[in-house]
Amino acid sequence: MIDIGGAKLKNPFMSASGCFGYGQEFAKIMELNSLGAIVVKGVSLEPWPGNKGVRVAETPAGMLNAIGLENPGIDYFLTHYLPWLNEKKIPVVVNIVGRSVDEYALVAQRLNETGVTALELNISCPNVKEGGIAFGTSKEKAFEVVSAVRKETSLPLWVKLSPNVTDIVEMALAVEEAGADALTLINTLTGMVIDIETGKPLLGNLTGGLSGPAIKPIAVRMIYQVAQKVKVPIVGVGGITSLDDALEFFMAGASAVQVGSALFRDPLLLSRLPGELESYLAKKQTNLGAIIGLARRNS
Amino acid sequence: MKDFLLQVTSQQELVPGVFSLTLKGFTQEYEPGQFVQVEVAENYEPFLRRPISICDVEDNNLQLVYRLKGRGTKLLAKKKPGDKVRVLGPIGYGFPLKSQRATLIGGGIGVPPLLGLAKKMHGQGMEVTALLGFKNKEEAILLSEFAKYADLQVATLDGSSGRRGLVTELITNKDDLVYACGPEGLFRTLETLGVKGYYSLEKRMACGVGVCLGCNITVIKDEKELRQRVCHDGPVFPIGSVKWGD
Repeated sequence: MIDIGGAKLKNPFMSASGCFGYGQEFAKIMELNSLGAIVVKGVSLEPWPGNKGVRVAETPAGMLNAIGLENPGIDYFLTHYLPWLNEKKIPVVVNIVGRSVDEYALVAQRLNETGVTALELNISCPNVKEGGIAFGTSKEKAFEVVSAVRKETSLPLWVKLSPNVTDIVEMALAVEEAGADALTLINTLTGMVIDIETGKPLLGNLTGGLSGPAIKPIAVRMIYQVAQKVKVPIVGVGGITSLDDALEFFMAGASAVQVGSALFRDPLLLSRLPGELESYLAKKQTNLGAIIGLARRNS
Repeated sequence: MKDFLLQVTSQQELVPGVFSLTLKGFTQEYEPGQFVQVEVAENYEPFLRRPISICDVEDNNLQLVYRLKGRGTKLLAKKKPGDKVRVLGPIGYGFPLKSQRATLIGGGIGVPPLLGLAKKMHGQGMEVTALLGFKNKEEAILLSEFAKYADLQVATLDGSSGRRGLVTELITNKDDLVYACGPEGLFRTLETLGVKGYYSLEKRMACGVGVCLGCNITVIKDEKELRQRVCHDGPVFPIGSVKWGD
């Protein structure tokens, strides 16, 4: 069993929020039970319509998205998706989003006593103006929203950080001090693609969040830096496409990892990773605990 | 839906820039109108799979007809017999069959998925009219195949094959249920004409399985606006149901 800030997972591999919906689509092609946990698409207090226009664009070794956190709202999640997920006996981590401190706190409150395993506070979505990244790029605002949610919940509270900051360590420390039980890093990096035929930005939202292998070295670097400074566990995410990639994240200091846009190309990746890790550990005659943070100890 | 590793049995350039790829081992039933997500490179460049509509399946041989457009389809066009290609599918909901007569209307690279449909309808004893539109004679594809299953009529913009003009000008019987695939302009014309039936949409996609919400559109159902995913809830929608430009 792996313990991420009080959340017990049977393996360290999870879906990344926004890349696995609420599990129902992937359940058609794989056993959801093979995941350590499912991290669901961000949920807000009210339904959000998301952004207009083009929402996705392929980029070198990755993609941009500007979905804008389209989601059906917490009530719909609780009545339509959570009962189904609870039946699957899989740990559910609910990614929550809001436009204000109150909205985050209210969504967190609604998830008390619902059987979910943990909350992942998304203060880092680059595609919504209010909320999302506004909280993720100011340590004072991040502290405020995490403190407010902390008061409403005794569930394990993970906070997903934005890489779009000057000093990731400063953000991580602020969030830890506010009561986070774990940190998820990193969310996407803000980027832009221009359509040279029209001479305009391609995405309806103009900018989008970059994900995929292109951002992996940045994620590894940030985890490495943050892991030296915080006591809470880190969930690594950003460009993982294979066990080798995941091992880098563990060695940088992540205790568990999430897989996101790689699933769009390799939908069964998450069902293979736990077995591949076991084989690797057996072959190397070691255990996951010995690998976590290895690169820091070796340097 | 299943993730297959299929073997290329043939790759043929039908007309300049349009290829027909056949892959063996596609053992799942499909509905005409459904599509597959094709991995074009084994490394992660390009990163995403390519959504391509199913043209036909015969004896577990999957036929895809696609246009060379960007770097993904360029790589796909290089696949040779014996090469392996990863294919996820079939995805989405295809065309529902609801009548004894039907008019199929295809424009350009929207034509291929209608071939499997014509074959299925013909097999069920339906009376099928196929109206196919192309830019010119040089771009016309799959005509002899369609002629096996349907009463075929062709239109080209320059009049080099069939009637000169738009494919929608070939419509004589507005009472037939229409099954369409092609550009948005074709769909809008069908809406203006007031015909009933179904159109199959194309939209920029990332995951292709309904999780990323990259291809969401607004459709009107029972006078209510609904958010739908082209990949998961479509790609086939009733004519007149899509709120364009949303």
